[in-house]
Amino acid sequence: MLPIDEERTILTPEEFRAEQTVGWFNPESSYDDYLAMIHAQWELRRDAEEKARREDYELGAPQIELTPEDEAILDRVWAKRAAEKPVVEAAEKTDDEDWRLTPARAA
Amino acid sequence: MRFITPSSPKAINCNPPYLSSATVVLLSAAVKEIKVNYEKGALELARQLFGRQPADDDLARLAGALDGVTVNVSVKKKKGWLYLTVNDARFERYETSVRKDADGSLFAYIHHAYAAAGQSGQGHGVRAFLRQVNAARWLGLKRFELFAAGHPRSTNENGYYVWARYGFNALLREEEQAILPPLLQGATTINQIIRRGGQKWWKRSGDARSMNFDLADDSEMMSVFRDYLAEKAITEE
Repeated sequence: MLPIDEERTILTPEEFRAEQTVGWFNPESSYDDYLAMIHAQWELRRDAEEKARREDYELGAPQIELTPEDEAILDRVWAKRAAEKPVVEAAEKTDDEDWRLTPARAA
Repeated sequence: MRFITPSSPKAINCNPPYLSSATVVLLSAAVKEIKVNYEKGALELARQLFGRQPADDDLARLAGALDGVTVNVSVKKKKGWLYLTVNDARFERYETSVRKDADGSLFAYIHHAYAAAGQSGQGHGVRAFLRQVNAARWLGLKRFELFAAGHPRSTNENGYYVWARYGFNALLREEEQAILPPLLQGATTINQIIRRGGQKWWKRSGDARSMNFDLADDSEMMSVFRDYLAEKAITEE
């Protein structure tokens, strides 16, 4: 089932292929893969909203400012991180890290 | 920059008596003229959660309170959440709850953080969050969590992108991993996407989700936030 989202514009097959051609998506992927991604993202939002409803709290949508100056600083900060930490993500992810990323354990 | 350490100067601690409701005025070098109001049961819950009664200025800072504001501390229904509400004209809403994970570790959930009209772009949010980070580390919390809302076409919510830029992290879904362009292939988290220079990809193709900010000293999130603050020369007042 595709997500129904009145705000988000889902790329058409032609738009997807155009973006794929210029490097925005895996060249091996298909339009169905793209739709699967959109659906997975929609599920994440739906799950969070349902959890908030079930547990009776406001999910919220906190915002924090990001000025162009902040963006430039963060570009440099992240570039420094990349230089310090070469790409070895497959090896670096451990079970121990999962708790930092997965809110499902929240009481 | 000043991240709170055990040797940091502590505020004058004028803890209220164990009344059902009390108001405390803090006067300290770290937090000036912040009023902390405890609703019924809040002090008791704070003691249960932290294993001791936290200093009022620590709770105020954990709430993200800047100087000259009032913090309301309450118990959120029957969930056992300590709910911190900042009443500050600079923010339309700034609300955080403190909770326990299933394994008993403490974390904070930022429910609302919105600048008031005419107040955005002045760095209030970053300074408030810095106070929260310092206080959370001091009080032994493990992480922050929030729902980073928005999507690429949203005109009023961009949390999914902005919080990620400041270091908040989440797992990517397998469906997202499968469609990543070659330079980002193999990434399993948002941190990894951005570290590889994929921030534009995330801005164009990312979406809302719950995100975490790991408060461990050596976490990627702390490193990014610390370096950002250093370059911006932001310190906790």
